[in-house]
Amino acid sequence: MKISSGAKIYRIFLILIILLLGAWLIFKNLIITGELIVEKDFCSSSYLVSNLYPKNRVGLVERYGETECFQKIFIEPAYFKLKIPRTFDRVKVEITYQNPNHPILQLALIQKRINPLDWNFQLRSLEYPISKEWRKGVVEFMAGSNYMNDHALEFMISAPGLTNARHEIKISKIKLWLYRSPVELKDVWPDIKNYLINKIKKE
Amino acid sequence: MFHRFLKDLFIASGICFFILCITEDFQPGFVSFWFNIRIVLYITLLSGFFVLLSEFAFRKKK
Repeated sequence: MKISSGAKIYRIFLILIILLLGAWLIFKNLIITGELIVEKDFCSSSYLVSNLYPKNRVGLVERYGETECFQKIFIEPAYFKLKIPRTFDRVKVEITYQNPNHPILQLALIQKRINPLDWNFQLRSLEYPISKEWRKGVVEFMAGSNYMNDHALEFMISAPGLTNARHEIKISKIKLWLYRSPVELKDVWPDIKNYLINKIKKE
Repeated sequence: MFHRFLKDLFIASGICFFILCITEDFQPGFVSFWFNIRIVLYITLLSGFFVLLSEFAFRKKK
């Protein structure tokens, strides 16, 4: 069967698209730049950041204004998970919250659980605990492989005494900056090899 | 020419969808964190549908 030159061109084009898609996915998963920024606004579902859980401690996603959404915490602690493609050294978290009448608000990064009863974490206080306006609180954690729980980082929002005082905290946005050392051009192939070996070992 | 293009698109997107599904099954999140696999599935289904339609039209013409 004779193939016309037009057919040859679009066949090459189709193969190129598939190869480019593969290369783009490898680039995204390797985090070559060493920085990953993830944002969650609760209005749309995010593949990487979960909603707040467990369900019996938090409210459903509610809407305020035209484009903003939030979730309430009634019983503390509440949690959220960030799925990540590989391990990072540091993570910076910015939470947009409204906390009108409760004085303590903390965020923790939970350490890897080897046994189900393991309960270790890094705890940081948010800057402006009481606020009737929407406020942004920023905290930073060290995050290595010993903080990976099932390919995810698990965060805990803690506000001691919230349940007894019958207060509530609203969370409207979560933004995370993750940092690791960038992949240099000469290290791309060894990095791909390490990445695949770690994935096969499920680390 | 267009019929052949649709056929090639159907085969290429089908193979691509298959590879993406295998990769995602091997390492959950590798694809779905960044890319919606359904897009490739829709391209496969649509191009397949148009291939069938054009085959049907060709036969009727003959």
